[in-house]
Amino acid sequence: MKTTSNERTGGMEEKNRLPKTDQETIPEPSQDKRQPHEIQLSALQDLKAIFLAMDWEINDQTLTKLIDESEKLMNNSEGDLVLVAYFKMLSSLGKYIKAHKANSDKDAVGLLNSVYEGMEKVIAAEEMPYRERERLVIDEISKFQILKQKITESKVGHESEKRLDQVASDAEIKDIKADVVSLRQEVTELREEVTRVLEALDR
Amino acid sequence: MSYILEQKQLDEIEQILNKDLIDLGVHSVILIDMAGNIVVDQNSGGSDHDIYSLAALAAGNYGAMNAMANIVGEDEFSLLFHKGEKANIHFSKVLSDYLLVTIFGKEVSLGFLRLKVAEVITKIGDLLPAQ
Amino acid sequence: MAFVNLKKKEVQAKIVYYGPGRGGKTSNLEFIYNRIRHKMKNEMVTIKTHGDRTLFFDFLPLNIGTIKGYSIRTQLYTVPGQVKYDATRRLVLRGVDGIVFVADSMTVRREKNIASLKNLEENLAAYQKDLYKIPIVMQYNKRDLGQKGVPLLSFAEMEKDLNSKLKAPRFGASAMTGHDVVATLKKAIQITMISLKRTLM
Repeated sequence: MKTTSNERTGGMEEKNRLPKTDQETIPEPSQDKRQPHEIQLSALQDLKAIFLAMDWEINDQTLTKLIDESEKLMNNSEGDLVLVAYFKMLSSLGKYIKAHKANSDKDAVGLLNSVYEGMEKVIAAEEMPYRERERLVIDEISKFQILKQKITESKVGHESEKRLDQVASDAEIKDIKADVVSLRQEVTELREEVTRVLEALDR
Repeated sequence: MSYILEQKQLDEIEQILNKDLIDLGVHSVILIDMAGNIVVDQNSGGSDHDIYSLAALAAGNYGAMNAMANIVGEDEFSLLFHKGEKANIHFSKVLSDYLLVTIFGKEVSLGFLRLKVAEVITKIGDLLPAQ
Repeated sequence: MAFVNLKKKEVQAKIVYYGPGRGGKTSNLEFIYNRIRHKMKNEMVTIKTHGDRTLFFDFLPLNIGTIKGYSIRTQLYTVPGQVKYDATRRLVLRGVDGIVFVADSMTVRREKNIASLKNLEENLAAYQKDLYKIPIVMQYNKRDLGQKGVPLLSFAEMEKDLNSKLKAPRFGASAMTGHDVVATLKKAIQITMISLKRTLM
């Protein structure tokens, strides 16, 4: 099993390990690096279960679990900026969808899945060079920014739409008032006509 | 027991289906009654299904599923969904006499579609005559 | 229930062919379908068993033209006739506007005809519909078999068994040869439309 020993060699990967002696094997410092990785793998199973559940149904329960899991994983990934970014996006999207539900932007759920898949890929490929990991997460971050922009713009749009509706209904009220006035006039004229006819009958 | 739907109601229903479902990326939406008649249908333009047969079959299918639910002690099933390779179908009851049939592909997640459909149903429920 | 779409100016109505198993309901629809398939874009829907018996229903949408600017779509359905499919028959009957009762003229099927009509009455009642009020046409099918020496019930016998109280319009027909199949359908559509006009007014 290949291990990295970033700490000791200052970032360089050690591909060839020294053969073991007959002595009791001293735990390599790099072995400590394996533990957080394993924690992530099992915690990822919980997250995967949440995503599988969301495939079928999106509700408060699953969204809350998503947010909690993502934040937990984010805290456990301290030091790994790429992973932190992924989990932060998951949490953020989770919160957005939870707040807006059916009114969420139609691309939000798609992005959620895409971020999750990107994160899975990065974690699964232990040997992935840092630059590649960076590139992948930046991809998702740009999509995230684009979506954020879209949401902000549409919010502003809705605000101005609301104002437009208000203006329209004011005009409608004016029309109705005008109708009432002309109707009153017609009724008055009709009454006068009836009176005239009745008077004529009397004579 | 026959019923009539006016232009205004139909226009509004069409608008809701377009805005909330077709714009989402759904291929087509059919609103039918339980006799298999089509009340409203909207599609994204990419498909040319035989919607009259679909409607008849959907009503029959839903009726059969409902009868099965009763046999196993359920009032109804909360999820009626058929998954295909490229096209999926989702059914949802509207009031007690109508059915919303949604045909969609991989671009739309079922979870999100169900959220949208739930909302669409409350909106159009107000526009339909109860029978 | 019929549905009138004021926007599309369209009326949709449902006519169900009912009757005992193997009586000729599907054959009726198949004959009609073969007559008009060149005009139709889509195929007739049939849900059958391996033995070619109707399992769920057959379905044929007919656009019969316009009346007073409204385009009339009649959806024709058949039900499975076998006794064990009663639950399915009831499902298919939902929202029915008009019925064609296809009775089997063969003498050996006499009891089955009567039982099927009774079954229709019960299933309609489940939807608060009255057999005596719903538009219905009787078809005494398989009349052509008489010429082949198969014992048939007489017209009068069938009338007495099935139509003495209903007094519905009736046709002797043969779904195999096509004799009076279209006439039956036309009558069914006519009385269904008249009845609809009354309820929709």
